[in-house]
Amino acid sequence: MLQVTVNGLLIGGVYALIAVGLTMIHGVMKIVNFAQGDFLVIGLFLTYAYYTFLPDGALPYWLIIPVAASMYLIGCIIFKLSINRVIGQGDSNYILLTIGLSFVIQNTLQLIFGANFRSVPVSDELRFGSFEMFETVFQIPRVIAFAAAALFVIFVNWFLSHTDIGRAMRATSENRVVAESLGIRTGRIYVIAFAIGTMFAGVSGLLLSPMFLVFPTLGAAFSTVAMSAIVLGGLGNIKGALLGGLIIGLVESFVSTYISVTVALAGINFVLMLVLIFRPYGLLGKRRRVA
Amino acid sequence: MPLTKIVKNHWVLIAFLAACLIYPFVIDSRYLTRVAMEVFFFAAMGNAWNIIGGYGRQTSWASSTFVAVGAYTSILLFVRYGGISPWISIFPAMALAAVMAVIIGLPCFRMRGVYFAIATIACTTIFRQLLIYFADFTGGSLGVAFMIRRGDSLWNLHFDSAIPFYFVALVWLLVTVGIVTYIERNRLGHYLRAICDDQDAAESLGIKSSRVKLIAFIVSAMMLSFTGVLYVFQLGFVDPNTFASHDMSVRIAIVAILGGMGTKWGPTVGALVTVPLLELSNAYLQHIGGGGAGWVMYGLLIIVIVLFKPNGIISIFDNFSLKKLGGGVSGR
Repeated sequence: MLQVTVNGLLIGGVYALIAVGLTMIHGVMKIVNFAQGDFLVIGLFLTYAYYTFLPDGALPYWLIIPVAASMYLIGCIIFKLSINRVIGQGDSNYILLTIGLSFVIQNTLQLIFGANFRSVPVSDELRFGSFEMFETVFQIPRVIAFAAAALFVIFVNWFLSHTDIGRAMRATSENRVVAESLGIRTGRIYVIAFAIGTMFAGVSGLLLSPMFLVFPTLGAAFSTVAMSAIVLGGLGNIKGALLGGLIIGLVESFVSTYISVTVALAGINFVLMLVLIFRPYGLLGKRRRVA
Repeated sequence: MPLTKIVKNHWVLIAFLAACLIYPFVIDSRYLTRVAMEVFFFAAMGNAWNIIGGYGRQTSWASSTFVAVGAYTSILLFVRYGGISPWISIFPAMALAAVMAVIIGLPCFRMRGVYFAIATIACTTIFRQLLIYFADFTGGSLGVAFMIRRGDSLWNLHFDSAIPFYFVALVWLLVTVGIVTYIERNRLGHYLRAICDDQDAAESLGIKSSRVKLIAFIVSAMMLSFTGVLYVFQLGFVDPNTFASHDMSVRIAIVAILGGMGTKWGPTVGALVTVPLLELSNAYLQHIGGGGAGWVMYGLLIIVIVLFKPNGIISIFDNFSLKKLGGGVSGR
């Protein structure tokens, strides 16, 4: 029981990180990025590609800066080329655009790397390492991923409330016109928010690299999980994304242990539906007039 | 109305129909006839989606569930229960789809915008996983396939040549266009458009929006289920990853959105562009880099159209008047 809870919380931390990236994007420009999972896969493939430059058996975590920087750049380019044209144009446009992006990313990766399953060749000590505490097994890659995710989430919270760019982001998120009239260059804020969201997805990919096989179509599952997490918690709310990610990790862990791995995804979505039936705007979300 | 005037007002439609009628005989290729059939099926499914997604602007991603309900019902009745004809199993299939639409619609229509979209994705995912989980009945992730059948039979929807089925699909496509036209001109269509413009304003005028949306959703689901029955009898097998997947929902919605949401012929135009693109590029480019090339083009097409023609492919035709070409403009 405790073991199941710990496993769920550890993976939930990583889900929370992906969800926080998605929330950064949604909070500022009111867009849910359906390609977020594919950005995660780009991060995984970047880790895979950069890892060849490291000595054998090195820790993949050294790559965090190059991967994050590359993802930030990719995010900027994709935003400038496509996303900034659909902001504020209604739901179906951005949904369709990001779904299109997801097709392009998945299959471009497939063209470059092929459809084979690969794995980042980290040392076995890292991949299978674990320690025991309170009669519970903690797998090392999961603990590291959870800790890193927690650090990133704390950093985002600090960034949003204590830096000028963070405050400008919150202002833009509240009301774009007012923010602009106060001298905030909202166009730049959009780029930064989107690129940070992309970067978080990429970093999550890196953190997951010791645990997951790398292949182009891996992203769809993560997109669904991350979207479920932010909707569960309430859109545009960092705490909600965090809560949503952890809940989803827990549900996944309990369902796959006590019922069956095949219905884990169904369990997540079932909980999501239950929450939405009673709180149509998520756990921490507030009702607002949409039309 | 004199015949010449009908011809003048609807020459695009007449040309399209004529092209459809001679196509399989001129082209004389089983594969290309099947591609055209695929176009008809996706256009029909796009029409069904268009009722709730286009006219009502409720971006539903649950379509594949209803297609799968139709497909599974008919194939299980045929294979497991002594060859019940698809023309009979269409009725339980549509009834089940309607029940399913109520089950999905009641909770989902309490939400709006992206919450609604993600709730429908959640429902489809649950349904797909249950199909895989109850493998004893549904065949799990492998699905169910027909045994090899020979001979022609309209009753059992099986033909040695692809051409008869091609016409079955064409007729069904025209029926769905007819249903959409009927809805567009009647109360349901007006209500849906009012909700799409401003749901709160529509409700203040006494339109029960959740009821209207639910009715449109049920109609759409029944049409999707009907198409699912035909589609599975054409393909010869059913499995969760082809029929109940999120990709299927996406392809259906994309047919309608790319073609032009809330327009009568939008889904047909969308299917005419996207389905052959995907089919042919997958067939001819499959040796390049693991077969991703077709999907890359598909994705790029989506992006380009969203960015440059946000009202769909059909809006290209809005800009140039047919009068300049010497043709008559309808609606006079």
